[in-house]
Amino acid sequence: MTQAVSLEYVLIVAAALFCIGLFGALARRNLISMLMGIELMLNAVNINLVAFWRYLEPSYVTGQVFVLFIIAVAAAEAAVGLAMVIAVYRSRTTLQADEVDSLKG
Amino acid sequence: MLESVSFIIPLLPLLPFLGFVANLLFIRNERSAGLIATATVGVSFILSLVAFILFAMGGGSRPYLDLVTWYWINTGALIVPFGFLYDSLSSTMTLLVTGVGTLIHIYSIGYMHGDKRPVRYFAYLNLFVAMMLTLVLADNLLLLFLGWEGVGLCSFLLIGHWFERKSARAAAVKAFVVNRIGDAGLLLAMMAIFALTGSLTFYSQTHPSGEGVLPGFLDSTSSFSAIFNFPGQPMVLATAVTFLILIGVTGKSAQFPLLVWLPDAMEGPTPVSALIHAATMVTAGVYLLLRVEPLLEMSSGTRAWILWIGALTAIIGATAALAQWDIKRVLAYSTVSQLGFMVVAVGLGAYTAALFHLLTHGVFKALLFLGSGSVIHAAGDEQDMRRMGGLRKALPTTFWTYMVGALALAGIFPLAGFWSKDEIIAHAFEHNIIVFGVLFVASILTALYMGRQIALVFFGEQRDHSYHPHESPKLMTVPLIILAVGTIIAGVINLPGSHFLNTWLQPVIAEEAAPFGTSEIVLAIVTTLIGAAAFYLSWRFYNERAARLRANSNDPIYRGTGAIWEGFNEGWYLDGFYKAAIVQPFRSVANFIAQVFDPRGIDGLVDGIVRSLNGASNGIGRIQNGFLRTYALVFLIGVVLIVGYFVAVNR
Amino acid sequence: MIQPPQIDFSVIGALTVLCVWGIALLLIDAFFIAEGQKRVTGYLALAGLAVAALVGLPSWGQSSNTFSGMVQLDGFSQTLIWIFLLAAAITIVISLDYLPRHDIEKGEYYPLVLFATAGMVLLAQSTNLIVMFLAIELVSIPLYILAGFAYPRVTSEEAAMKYLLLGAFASGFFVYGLALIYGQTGTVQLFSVDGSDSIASYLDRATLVAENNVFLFAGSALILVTLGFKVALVPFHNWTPDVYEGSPTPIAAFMSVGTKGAAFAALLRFLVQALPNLQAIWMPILAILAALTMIVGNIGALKQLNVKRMLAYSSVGHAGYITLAVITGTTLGTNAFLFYILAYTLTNLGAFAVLIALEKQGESAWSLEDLSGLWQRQPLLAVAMAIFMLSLAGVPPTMGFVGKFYIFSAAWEGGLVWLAAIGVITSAISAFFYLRIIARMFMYEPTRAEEASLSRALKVGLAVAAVAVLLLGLIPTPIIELVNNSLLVAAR
Repeated sequence: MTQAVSLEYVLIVAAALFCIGLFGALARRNLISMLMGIELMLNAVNINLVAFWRYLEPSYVTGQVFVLFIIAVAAAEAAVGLAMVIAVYRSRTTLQADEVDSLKG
Repeated sequence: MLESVSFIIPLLPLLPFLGFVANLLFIRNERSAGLIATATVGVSFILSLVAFILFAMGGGSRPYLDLVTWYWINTGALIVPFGFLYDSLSSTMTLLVTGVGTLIHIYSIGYMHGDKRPVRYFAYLNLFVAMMLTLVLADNLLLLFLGWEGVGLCSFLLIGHWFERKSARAAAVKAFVVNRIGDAGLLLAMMAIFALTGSLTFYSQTHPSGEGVLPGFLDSTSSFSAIFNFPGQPMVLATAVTFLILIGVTGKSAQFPLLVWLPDAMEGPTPVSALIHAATMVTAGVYLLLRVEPLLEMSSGTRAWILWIGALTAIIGATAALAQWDIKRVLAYSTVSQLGFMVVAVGLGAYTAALFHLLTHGVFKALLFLGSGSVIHAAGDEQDMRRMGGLRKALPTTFWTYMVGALALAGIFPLAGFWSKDEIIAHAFEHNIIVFGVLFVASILTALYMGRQIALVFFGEQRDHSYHPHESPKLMTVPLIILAVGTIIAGVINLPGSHFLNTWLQPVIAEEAAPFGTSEIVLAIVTTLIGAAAFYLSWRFYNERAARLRANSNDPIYRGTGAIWEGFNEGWYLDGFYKAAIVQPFRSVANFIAQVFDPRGIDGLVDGIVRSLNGASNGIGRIQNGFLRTYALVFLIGVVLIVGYFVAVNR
Repeated sequence: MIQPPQIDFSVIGALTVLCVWGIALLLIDAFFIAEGQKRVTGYLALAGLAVAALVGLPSWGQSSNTFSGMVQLDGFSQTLIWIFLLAAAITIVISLDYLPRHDIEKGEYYPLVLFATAGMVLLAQSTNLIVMFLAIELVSIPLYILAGFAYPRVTSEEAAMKYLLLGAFASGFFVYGLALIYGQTGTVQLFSVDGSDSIASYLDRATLVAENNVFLFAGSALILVTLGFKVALVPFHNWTPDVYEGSPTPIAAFMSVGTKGAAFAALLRFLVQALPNLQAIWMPILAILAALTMIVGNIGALKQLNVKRMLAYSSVGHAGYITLAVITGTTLGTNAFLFYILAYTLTNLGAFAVLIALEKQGESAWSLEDLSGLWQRQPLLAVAMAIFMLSLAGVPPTMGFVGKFYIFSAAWEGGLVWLAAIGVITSAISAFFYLRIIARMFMYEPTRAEEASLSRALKVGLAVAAVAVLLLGLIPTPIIELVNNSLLVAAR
């Protein structure tokens, strides 16, 4: 089977997506945006895994199963994370990450 | 003889430890606390006397007795018994610790009467004796280290006993922290010894499996040379190891450059100064050097260091003692100086002389401290000698016993100090003329500062009438009298010619007895005469001028010497040096990092080096700014660096 | 047709018990245990922990695996499992008083502790990166919730938020590393006993030098970084002080020993089982991180006046010491690691328990000031705390001293003399802030008049922990023998 695009390009896209997620997690002040950035990072990794599976050893399902694991874990994390965002908003009426800084030193 | 009743050896440290437990948990009143504490130490003394006699009667059948109670650590690689080593060295030290310890416990009953926390005091004092005996009787370095840290902890607790005074708390922490610096050296030395010889026990003993022997590292010093085959190497290794040990010794025995904690330690109650900071704990370093004598013998390099550190300490201590007003600080610096003498003796290879001086000094310095305690007691807790004067009339017993101690310290014939100090000076005269010169000057200074102190405290007229001096109770004067008698006769244990101590130590420290010829006799006569003259002149000088002294006036010799006097008074500015050389640069760096330095320090407890670390600590706190995104950024930087490193290495 | 794998339940006994009992307890708690009697749930959770500890007994000394070698039971993991179960049990005991006193007694607390413990158990057993990932998340997600359990106290909520965001952030790097390693080697198995494909066997191939292994190297670095984050190595330690300070105290205690121990176990497996061939590469960088961690942790603790925060920094410092044992890669190092983890578990949980005993409703006795004159107020607490502090400072004859001596000797023997020296010196510095607490307790007059009453369970627990720290410091040989028999199963 011939490939339309070579593996490198897929990996570069995934890496770019990871960096965008990274940037979102670092640069955005809004807690929800930070969570979204992190989700983006995880999804970039999923693209990586699927690509590796498809291009390197399509006869096994390992890579695909990893992706399922990661999606499940990401969902669990997002659930807890969003619950916490709501809690923070209730008590501080803000979602600015920099205003959540009472613990320091 | 002793083998059949060897169980009494573990009892020696155990008894005071039980006293500690009893005082900690059950006793709640002053009277029974003092009784229990004194009784346990007293019984321990009697037992050590019994053990000593039995051991001496046993004759040369066995050079030492090793009693393993259980195996502390028993793995294939590392075997450390919880074992006690009873030989001529440790038996002698045991007698000193329990003997002086008992007297000081008795004295404490009188001295601490009416104190706010007597039970705690006696509990700590008991724990100290137990730890000190563990240190002395340990048959391996790790157990010795247990005692070593234990006495440090007790010293910390006792210096801070009167913690209402902020200075007492500060001095306590300073003592412990400075000691920990030395302890780090000792701990590293232990690891090096373990890595090199595979053992931490001093002498070979039966292997726990029942067959073969567990080698002792002092017996297997040859393995130093076995590791590397060329000739120079074992000496380098031995030098490294012994130098690390020396770092530990400078901490515990208050040698240059770590001597700064001892004068401050005088914030503790006076009996504590007598027991811990004069007679026993501070001599632990010298004891350790004697214990590892076979290692020292392998390294002339470290012995040279020991020699010069000791000489420097002797002269720093003696000059600083000359310029103190506080009666206890004079004695503290004097202790520093005398410890320097002992360390010099070790450096010269005169191990017996070092132990001899350790023993006599233990007796007469304890006497002097207890005497000063009696004076302070009489003078309504006044410690400034300018406010004293003329106390010999009100305190006859204290005066006479103090006089004996002072003359012994000044090295006047025929008191104990004369014999032991003279032996060290004679050795120095023989081996190293510069060191001899330093010690000679230091011993003249000793006579000077003791003459000064006697004149200021006991002679002339009472200069401050805010208190009414009275002789201390019997509980305090009787120990003084016993110690004074001890000071007069203690010299006999190693009179030149008899060399009893030399012979006694022969199994542990193979050292030829010092020769005793005409030149030594002449030297002895000269030093004594000069010492006596210095003592008299100093006494006369201060006696004539004492009447004009007021609370804040300067010393009579201040006008001529000014800056030098102040330098002496400040202990050669060592504290200041640490602040300037270590604290300040550290602080500037921390300032650079953190932009601000918290000038309040931490909680008033901090001192010296530790305060400077605070600056760094603030710097760390500054990065810890509470912002989530900063943390993530720092994390990312770490990731980039480490991934970069891994990828770069691959190229 | 995919064959379901053969599952050997004796390998995952403790894990199964904890998961099943945790789920069952959630239901039991919801339907049968009334509000105000949640203490019963705690007792039931303790029973579950006891059962989990017992199921390990028959297989002690054996080494077997299941799930195609992805989960391993060997002496090493069994000993760690017991340590984690002990830590969880102590945590639950100290929580029994803590929760009602702070009005946060809810039943799901105890099952969540069980789930987190299950994650730790799995982490210690995992020999496969994807299992490791699942285990890390199984530890972390319950702990995110538990960290915020003191809601609506804002610091607790903040701690949970920070922990979650940074934890998820770190997870992203972990899976990226996993993907890269998978791309390079085609497997994420650390090593294999039967010779099938694994990272270790990939690295064993002779052609290695010629190949360009950039994915494997970068991936390994990312995995190391994430595990470093979980154990709080500098510079990935930032979250520790904030999260420990904000979390409910029993949870901070649990995290400081449990999460750390489990993540260190994973790190050790990853380094020793998967990457032994690369030791020359990871050793220097981890040695530097260990040195930094020891220095930053101990110096950072110097100025803390908040005892809980001080203990957090101190736990960073201790992570440095443990790293020392891990990176030697020797058997002695592994043994020292296990001994130290146990010593640290007992000591640190004890120290936190003392803080819990001092906390009253609605306030927190965390400042140094609150410890003033504790000896006059609560002699038992003061003596116990003094023993714990001496153990943390490494003063003989405590367990902490034996552990430190063990670790430093292992490092020295492993050729890391300079690191051992830094360790000894930083632990000399650390004496200062541990000693300050002792000084506070024994050399100050009390400032707080009234006293929190101590429950009998807490008193007994504290006394037992203090005596154990002291006694196992004097007679550590049984523990040393246990850890010497806790061999890490080796490849090939």
